[in-house]
Amino acid sequence: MIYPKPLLKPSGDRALRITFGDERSLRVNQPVRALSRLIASEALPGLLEMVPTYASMTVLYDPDAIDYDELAGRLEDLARQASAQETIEASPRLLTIPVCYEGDYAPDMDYICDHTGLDQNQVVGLHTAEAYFVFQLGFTPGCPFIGPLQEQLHVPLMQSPRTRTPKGAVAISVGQTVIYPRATPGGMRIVGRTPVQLFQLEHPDLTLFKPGDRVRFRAVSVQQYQAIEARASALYDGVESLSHG
Amino acid sequence: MVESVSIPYIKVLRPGALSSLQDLGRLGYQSLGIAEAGAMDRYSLVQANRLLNNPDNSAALEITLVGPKLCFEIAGNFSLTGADLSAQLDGRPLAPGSVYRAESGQVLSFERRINGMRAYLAVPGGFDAPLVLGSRSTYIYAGFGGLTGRALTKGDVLSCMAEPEIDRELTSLPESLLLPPDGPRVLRVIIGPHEERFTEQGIETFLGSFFEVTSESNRMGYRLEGPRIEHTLGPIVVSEATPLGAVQVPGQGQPVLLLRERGTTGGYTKIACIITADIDQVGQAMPGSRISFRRVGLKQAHHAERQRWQSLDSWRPQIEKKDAK
Repeated sequence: MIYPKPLLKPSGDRALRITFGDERSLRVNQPVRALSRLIASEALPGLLEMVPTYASMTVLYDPDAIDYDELAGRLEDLARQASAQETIEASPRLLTIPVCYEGDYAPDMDYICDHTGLDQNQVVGLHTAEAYFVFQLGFTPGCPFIGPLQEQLHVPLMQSPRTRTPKGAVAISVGQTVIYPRATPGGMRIVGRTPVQLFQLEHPDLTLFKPGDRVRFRAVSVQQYQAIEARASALYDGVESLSHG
Repeated sequence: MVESVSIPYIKVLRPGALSSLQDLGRLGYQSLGIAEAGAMDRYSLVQANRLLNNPDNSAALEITLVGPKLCFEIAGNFSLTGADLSAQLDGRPLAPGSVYRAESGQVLSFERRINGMRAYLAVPGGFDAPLVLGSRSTYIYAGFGGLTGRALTKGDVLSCMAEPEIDRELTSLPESLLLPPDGPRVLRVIIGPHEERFTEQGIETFLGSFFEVTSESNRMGYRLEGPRIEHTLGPIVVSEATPLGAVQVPGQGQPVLLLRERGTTGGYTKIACIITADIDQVGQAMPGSRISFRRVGLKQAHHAERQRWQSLDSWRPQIEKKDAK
């Protein structure tokens, strides 16, 4: 649901969380995006960092520079304005990302087909059908949380997570897709793999995705995957299109 | 512009269990999924730096549990703070909380753990490492920072960023500032933000029980074990930011303390968050030790944090503005 008014609350002694609802949806994320922009345009004393996520914005602050109540008062005003805004980003970026949905690159495809009752072509068809939305980055550097995922593709998390999910794994669970920027443990079901880089310290952008981006997946063969992998050493290498609109 | 120096100083003969370069951490990148990293016990790190008149944010060596064996390539000074891992310089015992001097060729080693979990070794000017996103901290889980994102290995040579010999008296911390002896720890917390996702009994269990630190505890987080904390509607929430010190309670009802290399977002209920003044204590808590939680308000939390830095300032104030505190 979307809350009738934003909920402000401490999250520890140096963070304030503003929540707009309790679902992973565009309508709840929209005011989070709007609030990002509003806060960025204000000079709030003591503001250290903003962490925008699906349904909430967490603001890290220095309590020596601003009192919690004062900060909450300022942010409450901005959050109300954000809730009232109708428009989403004027021109989000649209990134098209190659994904191989075949063989060893998709170790959970059988499970996903069994669980959803779809065949592999249908799974790939659905996953490549829509321009999704990047709701947040989190978990590890550059890891995007992408959605909303069509309900037919919802699958539960693994009972016990893999100790090693390969770099570039494109994985799904209930409502979302993530891409693992490097090999880490992970509990989501791997539907495919992308050869592109998601995080590069040497690049001024640092991460391929930013919250608010649009992303579309395009199916590629094993051969195409390997050809892209061989040349995709920097951020944006192998990204098929990057358009504004 | 200040000319920076880099003087090869210490050679690693044996790396120890986990020794890594850490400063106060990497701030400003959590929205990209980049956790702060930095010293698990920042208070001890800053003490080690102030003993040498270094800026608070200088990189020191964080030594975990089983210490390394280090050889001084040239004569110079160093400071030791935090855990007592029975440091020895060519066999002579060195207590934490002081500045020492080593001659060229002398070997610093660590025998066994006596108190605490993490010791800090600082050198004049701090250890040299590239600044990555404004910090020299090693982010082991993400593979960058410090020594190319990794812990020490045999054969590494660590350089310091000032002349290794200081021309001042070798000082010690007053006893009141030393790491207190191991024992059950009471960590103060701000309750929430998901307190309504726990039963009244669940909150009582959390605030009224002892939890044991398990061996699944590292720079990302500490898993605790104790009586089951009861949820109302299950442990899953819409993924949101996980502040440093957040106490997450996943499905098994056992708390997980989220620390310096945690995932920056998480989809499990957070029952509370440890106050900043008490987070450093976690870095000194051994597996098997006991932890309990006490609820405080924001004003108390902020006061506690100010107070502990004032105690340190009253012994020796920072020589530069505390970066990234």
